[in-house]
Amino acid sequence: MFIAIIVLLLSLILFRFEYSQVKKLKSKKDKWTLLVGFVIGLYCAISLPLDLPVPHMNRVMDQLVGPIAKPIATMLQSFRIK
Amino acid sequence: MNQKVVHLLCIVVLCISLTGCWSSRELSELAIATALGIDKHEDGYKLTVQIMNPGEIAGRQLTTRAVVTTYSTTGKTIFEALRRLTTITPRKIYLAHLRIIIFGQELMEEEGLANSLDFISRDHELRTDFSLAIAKDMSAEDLIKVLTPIEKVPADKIFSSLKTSQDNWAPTKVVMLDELISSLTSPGKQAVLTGLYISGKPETGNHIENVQQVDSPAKVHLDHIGVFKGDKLVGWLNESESKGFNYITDNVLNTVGWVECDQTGTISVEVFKSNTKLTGLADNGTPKITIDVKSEASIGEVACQIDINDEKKLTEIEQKLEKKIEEIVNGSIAKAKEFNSDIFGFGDVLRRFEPKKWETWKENWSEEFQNIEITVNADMKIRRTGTTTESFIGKIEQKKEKDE
Amino acid sequence: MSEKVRISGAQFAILVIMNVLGTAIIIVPSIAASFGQQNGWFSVLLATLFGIGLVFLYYLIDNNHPNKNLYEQLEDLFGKWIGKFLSVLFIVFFFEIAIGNLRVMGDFIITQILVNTPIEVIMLLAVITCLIAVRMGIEVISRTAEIFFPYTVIAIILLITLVLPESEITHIQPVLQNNIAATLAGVIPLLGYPFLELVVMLAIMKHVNKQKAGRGFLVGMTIGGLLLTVVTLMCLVVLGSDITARNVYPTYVLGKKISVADFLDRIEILVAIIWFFTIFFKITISFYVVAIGVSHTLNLKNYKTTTIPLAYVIMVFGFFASPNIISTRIFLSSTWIPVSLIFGLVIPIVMLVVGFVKKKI
Repeated sequence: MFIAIIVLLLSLILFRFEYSQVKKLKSKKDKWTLLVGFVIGLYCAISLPLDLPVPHMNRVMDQLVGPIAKPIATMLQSFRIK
Repeated sequence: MNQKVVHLLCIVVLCISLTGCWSSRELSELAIATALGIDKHEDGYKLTVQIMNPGEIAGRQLTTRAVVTTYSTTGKTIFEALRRLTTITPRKIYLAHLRIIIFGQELMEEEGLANSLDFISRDHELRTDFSLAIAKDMSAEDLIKVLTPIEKVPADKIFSSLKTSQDNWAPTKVVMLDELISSLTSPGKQAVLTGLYISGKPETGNHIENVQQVDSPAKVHLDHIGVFKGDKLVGWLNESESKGFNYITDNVLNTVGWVECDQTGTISVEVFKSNTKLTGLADNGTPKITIDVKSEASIGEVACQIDINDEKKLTEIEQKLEKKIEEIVNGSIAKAKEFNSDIFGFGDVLRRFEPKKWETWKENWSEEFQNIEITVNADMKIRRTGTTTESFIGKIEQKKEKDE
Repeated sequence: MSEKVRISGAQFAILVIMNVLGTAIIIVPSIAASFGQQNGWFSVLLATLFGIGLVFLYYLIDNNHPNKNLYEQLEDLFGKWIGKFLSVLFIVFFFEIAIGNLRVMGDFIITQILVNTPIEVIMLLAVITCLIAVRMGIEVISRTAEIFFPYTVIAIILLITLVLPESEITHIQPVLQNNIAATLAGVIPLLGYPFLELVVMLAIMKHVNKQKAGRGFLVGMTIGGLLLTVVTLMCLVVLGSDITARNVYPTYVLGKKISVADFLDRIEILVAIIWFFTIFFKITISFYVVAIGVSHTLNLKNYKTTTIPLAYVIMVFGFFASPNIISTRIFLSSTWIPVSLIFGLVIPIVMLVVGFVKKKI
C-alpha cells in the first residue's frame, strides 16, 4: 500500500511535467491521449504492489494462435532430442 | 522550475538505484568454501564443507589457529543440508571459490552420482572450474578434515597436486563437472573419477600437529581411477591401468616409463609428448577400434651397461617401450571389459566414424563393448638423451671388474 | 510525425546487428542444440540464410514506398481503416517483442548475476534507460549504437578467442551425418526468434538514405547471423551439445570457461556486457516503433506524448509477460513461431503483392 502511494505521487509529479510539455503542442488529441495513457499506466503501476489482475501477454497470445501453434509445437517436440 | 524538480528527482532516484549494491555481500559476511564433501547418511546426505579462515591466510599476524575449519550437517537433499549449515556456521557459505568436491565411496557405490550432481550444476554460485574426486575406502568427511603442509588450504593442495600429477605423472585425471556430466549422459561413454585416500594416521590429520611435523603423520594421496557404470562406482583401476586409460584418452602430457636392459638394470625415459588417435571402423558388423599412440621421449636415467651412442640400441629401446605401452593399454582395456564399462568413450568414437552403424549398436552397447576388436599401435621416438650421452655406469662396472 | 531525421547506412547496419543479437545470443545456442545436437550451428546458419532472404523482401517493400514508414505504407496499401487495423496488430506484435525481451533480460540477471535483487528493480532501470533513449529520438539511438558497437564487437571477439583453447572438435563430429531431420526442424524456432522480428526495421527504414538502406540491412543481417552462428559453434565445440542444450544460458556458461593461464579468470561478465548493449537497443527500437505506431494511429502531433504511459505499460506487462521461465522457453518454440511468421513473412508478402498490383493498375 505504502509503495502504491509513493508510485502514485511520483507519477503525478511526472504527469505535471509531461502535461506542461504536451500543452505546448496545442493539440487536443495529444492531451487526451496523455490523460488516458496515464490512467492506464497508473493502473498498471499500482497493480504490482496491490496485486491487481494484469493479463499474461504470452498466455493471451497462446490463446489467440493456439490452434495454429499446437500442431507446430507437437511437430517440433517430436524432433527434439531426449 | 518544474523541470528542475524533475531533474533533481531523477538524480536522486538514479543515485539510489544505480549503485548496484542490492545483492552485494561484503567479504566479511562470507564464509568462503574451498571443498565440499558429500557422504551417504541414513537421513539422505551428509555434507561437509571446508571453509577458509581468511585471517590465517592473509592476516598480518598469523596465529596458531588452523587455516581452515570444517562443518558437517545432514539433510534429505544436498541443498537442504547446505542451508542447514547456516545453523552452525557464523556466515552464509559462498561456493564460488570451491576447488574440489569429494564424494564418499559408499555413496558412489550404493546410490550413484546422478542425484548429487544436479544441485552442483544448477546452483548459480558454483562455477565449473573445480574438480571432482572420490574418497577411496573412506568417507569424504574424513578426507576433508586433513590439514596439509606447504599449501595452507587443503583443498588447494588436492587441486594442485591433482593438476601437477596429471601433467607430470599421468595415472591421475582431473575431472571437471561438465566433462563428468557429458560422460554420464552420453550413450557411448562411461564416467571416471580419481580416487583420494589418506595414508598414515588419519586420526591425526585434523590436528594442527599434522602440519607442524617434518613428516606429516597423515597425508592425502591420489592415485587409482574409479570406474563408473551408469552412475555407480563399480571398481578401481590400479596405477598402470590408470596410465593406460590416460594413454587411450590422450590425456598424457608428460610421464616417466622404464624398460629392462639386456643385462640387469633398467632405463627410464621421460615421455614429453604423447598423442593418441582413435579410429573406429565397422568390420562386417563388429565394431573395431584402432588406437595409435605416438609418443616422443628422452632418456632420463640409465641404470645399466648400455651403449646408447649406438643407434641400433636406441631402436631396441624404442621397440621395448612400444611393447610396454601396448601392454599397459591392453591391460587397461581388459580391466574395463571386466567391469563392462566403456570408460574410454569407444562408443563416442564409433558414433563419429560410423554414425549409421552406431544407431544399431547403441541399444545394447555394453554387450557390443565386450566384442569390440582393438588394435593398438604404439610408436615411440627417442629424441634426446638428456645432458649426457653414454652413462658412466659402464666405466664403474669395468673398474669393479678390474679391482676384483 | 514530422521528424526530419537521417540515419546513415552504417548506423542502420549496426542497429540491425544489435537487433539480431539481442537476447538471441544468449539463448539461441540452447534452442539450436536441443534440436540438431552437434549440428546445431548448421540450423543457425540456415536460419541466417533465410534471414538474408528476408532482407530482400523488406528491401523491396521499402523500395515501393520510400519515405514512408511501415504504418504509413499499410494505410497506403490497404486503405485507412484496414490499414489502421493492421497497424494496431503490428503495434501489439512489437509490444510483445519489447516486453518479452525485457522479461528475458530480467530473468537472466536474476538467475546469474544479481540473485537477491527483485526483478522489478532491474526491469524498471532498463525501462527508464530505454525511455530516455526513445524520447531522444531515433537519430540519437542510432548514434549511441555507433558508439557502443565497438565494445560489443570487442567483447564477442574476446569471448570467442579466449575460449578457443578449450575447444574440442570431436564435440561436433560427425559433421552433418545424423539428425539431419532434427537439424532442419531446429531452423523453425530460430526463424521466429530472432530473424523474423527484424520486420521492426521497416518502421525506421525510411530515415535511412535510400541507396544505403538495403546494403546496410544486408550487411547487418549477415554479420549478425554469422556472429550468432559462430557463438553457437563455440558453445557446441567447448561445452558439447548436451550441456549446451541443457543450460538455460549456455553463452554465459561459455564465458565461465574462460581461463587463460590461471590469470585471466572469471570474466564471464564479458558475455553480459555484449548482451546488455544489444538487448538495450533491441528493447529501445521496439519501444520506439510502438510509440510512433500509437501516435500515428491516433494522429498525434508528437510521438513523445505516448512514451511515458507506454513505459509504465511495458514495465508492468513485461513483469507479467510469462508466469515462469519454462513458459517463456515453450512460448518461443510454439506460439511465437506462427505469430512471427504472420507478421514477419505473410503480411509483408501480401504488402508486396498488393503494392505491385496497385502499381500495374
